[in-house]
Amino acid sequence: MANDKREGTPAGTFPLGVKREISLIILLLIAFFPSSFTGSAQKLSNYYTAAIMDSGMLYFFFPLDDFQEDVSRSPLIFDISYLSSRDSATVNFSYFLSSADPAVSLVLRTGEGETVCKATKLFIDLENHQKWHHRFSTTVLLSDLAYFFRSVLPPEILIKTKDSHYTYTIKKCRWKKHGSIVSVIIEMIQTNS
Amino acid sequence: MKKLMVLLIGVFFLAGCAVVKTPLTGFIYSDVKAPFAVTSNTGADRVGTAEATSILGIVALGDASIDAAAKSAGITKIHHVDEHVTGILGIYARYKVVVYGE
Repeated sequence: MANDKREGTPAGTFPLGVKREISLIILLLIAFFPSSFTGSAQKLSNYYTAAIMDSGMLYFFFPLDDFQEDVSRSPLIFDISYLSSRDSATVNFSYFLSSADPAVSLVLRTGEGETVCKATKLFIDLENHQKWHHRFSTTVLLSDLAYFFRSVLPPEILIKTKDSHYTYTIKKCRWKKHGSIVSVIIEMIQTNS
Repeated sequence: MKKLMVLLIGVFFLAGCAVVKTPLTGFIYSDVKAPFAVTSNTGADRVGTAEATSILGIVALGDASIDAAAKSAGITKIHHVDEHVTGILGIYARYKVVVYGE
């Protein structure tokens, strides 16, 4: 009789045993990955960290690598450090080229304006024979960073060198996700300052 | 039920694949931050990171040294160092070093 019942399961529905297994798997996922089932608030810790220092709170945004060069598709990787007792944040950034071409300035460009920041060299290393790793640093006013990350449309980052410039853009979906989270963190920092 | 058991046993055995140094063990998922080192230097205004990753315990790549992290931010005086460990089902593991200094 039991077999007859199982054969009689309507099309498109799960047999009883399979349904129980799926429920168990979902329960296990909820138990072990609680952060996946809550809002984005808990995920903020994936984007930044903060430490108390003598001169204030030191915030650090983990490296973002969503910006890509228009032609070569090589990434621009940058992180942000900010000490609450100052008005400017330090932006350290890496870009990769087939030949050495030191940056002169970094330009943060939104649809409504741009911020030009002088770049200082940290190091230039040769990786994998033909890949030059350029690591530079610059300082940007926190208010300018807030303005940049508040941009609704995906912004651009330009690296200007002595003879050329490289334009880095971000996909709309990536900007919608990461830009808004960084913007919220900066807003939190400004509220605390 | 048999399928679920096979899945759980599979997860258990995979957990031994991509192993990463961590103060706490989570064989299904781990995301742990912990202290690594402290110095007598005072003050910090810069932070640098470096990381290494492992896939299935077969391939492990990266430079997660304090030197690499300090170099990435131009840090010459280290204040303290934290580590951040992430692991998923023994399939993927990441070890990140975070250096604070000036």
